[in-house]
Amino acid sequence: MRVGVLFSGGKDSCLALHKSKSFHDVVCLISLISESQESYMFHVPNIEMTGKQAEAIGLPLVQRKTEGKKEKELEDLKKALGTAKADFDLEGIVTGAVKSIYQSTRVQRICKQLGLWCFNPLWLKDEIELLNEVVKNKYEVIISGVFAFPLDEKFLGRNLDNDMIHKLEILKDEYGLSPAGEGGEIETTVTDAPFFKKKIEILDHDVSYRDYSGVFRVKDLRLVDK
Amino acid sequence: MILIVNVCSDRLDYFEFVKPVEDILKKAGEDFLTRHFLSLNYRDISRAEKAIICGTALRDFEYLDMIEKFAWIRKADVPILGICAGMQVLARLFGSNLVEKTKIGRYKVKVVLKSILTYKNEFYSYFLNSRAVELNEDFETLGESGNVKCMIKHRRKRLYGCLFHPEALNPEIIVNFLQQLIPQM
Repeated sequence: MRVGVLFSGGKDSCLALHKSKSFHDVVCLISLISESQESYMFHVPNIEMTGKQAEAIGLPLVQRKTEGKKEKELEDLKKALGTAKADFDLEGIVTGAVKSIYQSTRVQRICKQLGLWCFNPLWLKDEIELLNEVVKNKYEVIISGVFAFPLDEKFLGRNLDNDMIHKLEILKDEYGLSPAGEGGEIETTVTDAPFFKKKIEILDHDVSYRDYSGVFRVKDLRLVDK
Repeated sequence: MILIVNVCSDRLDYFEFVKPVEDILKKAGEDFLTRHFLSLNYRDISRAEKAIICGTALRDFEYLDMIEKFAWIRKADVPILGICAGMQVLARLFGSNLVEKTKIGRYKVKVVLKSILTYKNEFYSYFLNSRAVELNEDFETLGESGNVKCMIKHRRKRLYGCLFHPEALNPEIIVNFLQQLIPQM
């Protein structure tokens, strides 16, 4: 089946893409660029990087801007999926939804309206299992956003590795934090994975942070051979 | 051993509709075996103490076109829980009709008849279905959501169905079915 992946450039959409490649013909990526920092549906930090990530992966990208307002962004998503369906002859969409009933409900409804299959291969996956799968598969992932106590500035730009998973597991036990950031506590950006044809090297960045809310923003990057 | 029956025609859907049920069984310490409905054999069925028939994607109807592959359920004398597509299989197998009815999202379920599945009078659950059931006299309704009969039991057999997906918001329903600690009213 020809499928497109709803792609934010974070660990979940990359892992969903990785899994779907074993079963289907992934022919494009689809990204919504939200102009709101409080998008209900779409990952925000470094979303502008998805163009370069798509290039590194070797897939075309369908990109659409959205204001990020609650129901308007669903209309924008529907338009983006409709465009991708028409341009790439898609039969299905893959998402990296894990726990969000809100997101999953809305994507399922839009896919139903557009006559598309909707695949969610990470749905209800144990979060520590998910993080371990990412690390085991040698993804290069940085923490690009923190949005909850006690995640402070020190987490921003850190790599996701076994030590980080251990830290997040402790924070889960102590503070009830979702270790994979499924409540929006953490956002990630993937710079390399087994299906990347080139890897991303970050050349410049800045950090904005205040009161357990911050973003590691990639300002400049290049693609390098692996 | 608990038999988990996968009805997905697309292998990628295993991760969305079957693995979450397997994970609940693992956490509950249950021994289980997962088989696709097209590869089930007599030995698998005869070893099962209980069975769970999982759901599948909104656009997947292959299992309904091959309903006689589930004929073993008519003779089975073990408790079976059908989830979404699994409930449709149970209803269809015993002569109830399916009707087109799409329900996607989180909705309230009102319990109208107590059963082993839950102590609760009402709860919210996640629905992802494009068919509902028109029950015949072989079944009784345990729960409703709006005008949709979404939790059912066969009157003479230990066959239970949830049109919603308990694995998403109500894993205790699956555990209750497995452990059978709530007395049948």
